[in-house]
Amino acid sequence: MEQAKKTAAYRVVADSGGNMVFRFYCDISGELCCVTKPIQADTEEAALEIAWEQEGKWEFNLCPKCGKYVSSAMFNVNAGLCLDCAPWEDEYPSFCHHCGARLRESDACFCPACGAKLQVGGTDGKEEAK
Amino acid sequence: MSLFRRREPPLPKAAVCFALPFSTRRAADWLRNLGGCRPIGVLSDDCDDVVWQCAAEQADLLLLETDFTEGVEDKDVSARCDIAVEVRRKLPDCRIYLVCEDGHPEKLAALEKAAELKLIDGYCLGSLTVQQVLIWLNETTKRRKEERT
Amino acid sequence: MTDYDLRTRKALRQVTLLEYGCGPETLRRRKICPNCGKANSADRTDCADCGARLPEMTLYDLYRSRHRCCPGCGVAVTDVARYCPECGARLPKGAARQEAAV
Repeated sequence: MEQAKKTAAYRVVADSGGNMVFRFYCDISGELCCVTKPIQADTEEAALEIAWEQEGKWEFNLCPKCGKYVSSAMFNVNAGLCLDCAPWEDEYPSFCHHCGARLRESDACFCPACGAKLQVGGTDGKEEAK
Repeated sequence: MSLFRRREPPLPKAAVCFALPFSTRRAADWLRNLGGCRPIGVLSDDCDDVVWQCAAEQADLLLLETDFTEGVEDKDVSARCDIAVEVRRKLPDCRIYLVCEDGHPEKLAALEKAAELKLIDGYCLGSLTVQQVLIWLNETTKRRKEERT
Repeated sequence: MTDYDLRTRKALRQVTLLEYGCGPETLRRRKICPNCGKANSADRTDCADCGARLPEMTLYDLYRSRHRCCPGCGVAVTDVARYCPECGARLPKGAARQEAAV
């Protein structure tokens, strides 16, 4: 995994009183997920840390694989990864992604024909599409 | 002149289950004053309690209130839809409507989807109005007539 | 846990995902303002916050552009999928994902 980012992408706006307002954005979609209240600190780094710890981080999901901070919309709750790392899989598939067999029970966990796991990659993720 | 008087069908039984017992009592009293139905106050919003009481009373209509307050669990759209599904297992013809506070646009998509997929029969945003209740009672009465024919 | 029929389970799941702001349906209903980053309803043409023109692309379009998609039905598929789980079409070999600029 790459070195973890400390926060999501952000912009900082200083107000007339010298306080800083942080706007945090989803690392994939750029959606504005959090606008903090004005933060007072000696440096931008210190203010950023306060803003992130107190408000920002609660609005994001951290992908454990790539380290991106993403919005709920861009997070695959089933896989526990961001949508870049784990595209959304239909929870009730009609066909096995591995062998193409039609699934009679679309809520099955494993394919009755080839035994592949039907969700979250289906295999242990090591096999590439051939 | 006929000696037999046509009997009017009894008023629909409207079960109400709001987020808090006192608001349920208040809603039931309000419905009673409005007329047009026989209100049943369901004071517990636990799923099993709601299902049991609706089935025991043979409710024709259930009004379920959501509560989107932060920190409050199991009173959101999904949770209320779970209750709706369970009630319908016992009472397939019961009309179910959600009463939701306004100001939560993110919940609107879920409400629309729930109504589209027929998990619920409808919803309202904001306070329950006389007009809204009359529409719902009308739908319920119509449904009861269809069942009888 | 109550044994719901499949249709009911699917319906409940769709509502839950929408309510918690995740899943494909949420992505289809959302557009991001390129100016202020605010999430807008997909049927809007202008940002409700800053008034800037919204892109045609929804979040779902963005998501699809970052993944391999089934040539048959268009749904995004995992890198390891050989067949589309929606329509059963045989998938071509995975091409390198192109990360769309945000």
